[in-house]
Amino acid sequence: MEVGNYVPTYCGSSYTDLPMEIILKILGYLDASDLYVASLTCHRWFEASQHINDTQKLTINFTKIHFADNSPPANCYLNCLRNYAKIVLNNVDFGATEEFWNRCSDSIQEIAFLNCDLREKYLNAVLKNVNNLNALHIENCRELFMPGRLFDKDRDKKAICQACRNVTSLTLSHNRYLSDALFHRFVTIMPKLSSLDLSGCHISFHQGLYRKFYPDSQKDASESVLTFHYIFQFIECEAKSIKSLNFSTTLIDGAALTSLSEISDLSLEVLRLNSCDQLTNTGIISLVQKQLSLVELDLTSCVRLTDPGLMAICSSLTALKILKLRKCRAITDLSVKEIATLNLQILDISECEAITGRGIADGIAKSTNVLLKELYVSALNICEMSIIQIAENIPNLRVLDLSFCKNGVTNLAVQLIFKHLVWLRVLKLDYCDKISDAALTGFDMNTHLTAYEDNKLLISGKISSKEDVQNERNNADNESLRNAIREALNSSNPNERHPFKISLRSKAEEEIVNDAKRKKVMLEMYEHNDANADYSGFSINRAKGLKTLTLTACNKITDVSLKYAFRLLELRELSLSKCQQISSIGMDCLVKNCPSLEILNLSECHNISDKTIEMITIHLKRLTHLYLERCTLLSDHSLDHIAVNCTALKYIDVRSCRAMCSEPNLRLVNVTTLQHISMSKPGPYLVDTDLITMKRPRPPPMPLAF
Amino acid sequence: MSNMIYLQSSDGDIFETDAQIAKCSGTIRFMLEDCYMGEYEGVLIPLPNVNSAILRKVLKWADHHKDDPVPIEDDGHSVKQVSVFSSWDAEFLEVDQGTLFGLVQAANYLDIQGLLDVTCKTVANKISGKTADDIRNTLTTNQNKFQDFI
Repeated sequence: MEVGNYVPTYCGSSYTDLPMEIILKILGYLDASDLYVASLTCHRWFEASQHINDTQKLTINFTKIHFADNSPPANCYLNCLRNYAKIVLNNVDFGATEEFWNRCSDSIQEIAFLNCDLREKYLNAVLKNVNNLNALHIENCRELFMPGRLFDKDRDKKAICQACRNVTSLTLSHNRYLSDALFHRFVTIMPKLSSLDLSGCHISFHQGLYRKFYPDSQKDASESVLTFHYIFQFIECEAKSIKSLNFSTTLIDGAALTSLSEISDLSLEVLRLNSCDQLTNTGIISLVQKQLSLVELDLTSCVRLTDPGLMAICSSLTALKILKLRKCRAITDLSVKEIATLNLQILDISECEAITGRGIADGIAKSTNVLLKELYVSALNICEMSIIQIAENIPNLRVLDLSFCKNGVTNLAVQLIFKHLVWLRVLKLDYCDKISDAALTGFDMNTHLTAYEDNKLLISGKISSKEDVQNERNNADNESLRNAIREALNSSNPNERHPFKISLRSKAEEEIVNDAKRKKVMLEMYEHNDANADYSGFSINRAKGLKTLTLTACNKITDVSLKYAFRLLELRELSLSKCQQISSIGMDCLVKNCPSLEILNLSECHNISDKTIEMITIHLKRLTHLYLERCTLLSDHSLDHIAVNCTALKYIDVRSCRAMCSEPNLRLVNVTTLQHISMSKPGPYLVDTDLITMKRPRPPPMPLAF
Repeated sequence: MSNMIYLQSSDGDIFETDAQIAKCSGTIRFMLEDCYMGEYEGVLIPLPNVNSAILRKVLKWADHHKDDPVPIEDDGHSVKQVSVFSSWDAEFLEVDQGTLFGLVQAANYLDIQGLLDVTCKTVANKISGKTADDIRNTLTTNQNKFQDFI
């Protein structure tokens, strides 16, 4: 907008008339789903969203469809005005699509074919049509490589070379029949390649094999094997431009990695070696000595990596920003502490069984760390104190995965997370079954919090090792649980408790009853706005930007949290699976206060009723995924509500919903967006239904009528 | 030294304000420094695109934020975070649609980056999680109609 030619009439009277730059600014704050909706309001906003789409590279994804010009969904694309920069074709079968590729010849920059029955002829036709391609991804397309004749015709070669001249990223993952010759043809038509992904390909790393297929006389690339030696030669030639390599799920070993890292001009930035079982410490150590410019290193499931290897990484790779060590089971606290010396943005140390709270508290979370944005520590046996330290010392975390940290995640820890980590976008607490409503609402946590503040210095001195922590926690927990139960019993109904009455219930059953009572008490307290109650803790609402929250099997979470704590405008994905105390009281409030929900998991929430489903489908206009497995109360009415109200639903899971008819798919035919229904198989001859009928108690034998 | 200047709104009201506060507006700063060559004690600046109600709000905002440090560039991660700003701003922007719209326009016209950021965020916040119809209804007042529906 030119300020000079300023015309007063600009003071238009609506958001439609705002200057484009302001509209762009407003829409720039929105995520993809919101942006899409906003673009439907008026023409100018649509134009603005188009501009944002162009700069942000939207992806269009076709999965399991017939892909042809004259059938949906491809023909819908032909009629729409949007342009997509990236297209993913997963498991599609191809019809005539000339028009489609003509239409997007300029906009498409990345193409991915995954698990397709892709033929040479089709790929050639596509490549000849696109002009601005910079990434090509072909995964698990065996028909393309099996004949081995791809790109061998001179006739098409010129056009294809032209199309691929700017390709910088090539992915040929999981292709069984890729050979040296085919690899050679790919890389010769792509002179600007900087990123190469050969994960899951059958690469032969053994020198002997190379010698067998390349006897002295033979110089041409082999058509029967893919050898590391041949790939190595290519990387050596292109060393200056290659920046990113992916050899995940291959048999790459220490020797191969050593020779790779010793290529003189090679300075890698990204190296992914996910699930490389053969990789040894020697390989890693020589890698880190040479490739000092590495920014991202993925060693997920490299089980042979041990402490010396990780220590070498920490001391040498100063530029590293992303480090993934999930399932590297051999690493211990000793080396994990050293990770603190790196300036990481993303760290994944999930499922490394040997790590304890000490490794985290003395390492990455020891002092203030403003750089770390994503931390994955799921399934670690870490203590409460180390989680508190994460919360206090890593203030800029966007993603925190604490799922399966059963011992460490307590109400207090979660409270401190909400106190300090207000920027969180993703929080995973699956199977952290110690936490209750107090953790999410901050209700009645003040005493705990002040006690913590008082003892802080005292505690921080002694973070105990694994066993101590566990014992301590267990004791403390039993104690607090007992107190809570006592409290709940006392306040709910004293008449019910008779001193001489002995309960014959099982412990588990008792627990359920007590949970229910506690929930009732809390609800009442909230409702009467009890003056004595204390609301001074930290509610989950402090993390306003939360997009994903998973609370699977946190079965102490009740309607109280849903009703009084959840005001999360941006929440997209929520899992309450196995939170069996959830009922319509909480869900009614939830669906009103979290309108952006797209993925909702209520599996095994036995109290969910048809009424709840009605509320969900009416209020959650954007719902795309709904999981209702084993919600036994749901009947066909739920299906009807879904059929009437859901306009965006793509996936629904109604397995083992016993009260529903056997063919839910027939009830949902009107939901045109629906792509997949998970259901128990219909028909009387099916195992599932049989089992259910057998489990049902048989009616008592009828007395014979006389 | 007090450097008072006067701002005249579109409906003729005159506001007295400290030049330092008014200078958070790029437009006014430009006028004072370039048109009056820095000698602006007591000058009157007409602002024909801002009415009194809005100008009063803007000055209140500017007064509260007068000591703010110069904003540093975002690191790119928080750009898309819709709902993060100070609680004072949140309360300040709890206004009707007409006023909010007026503030967006005024912030743009007066070139006040901080105010533009928070007002745009507030608008984005109101869009978040709604359907297209809801958006039209929310952002529309009696005077401001969303025209040009598709």
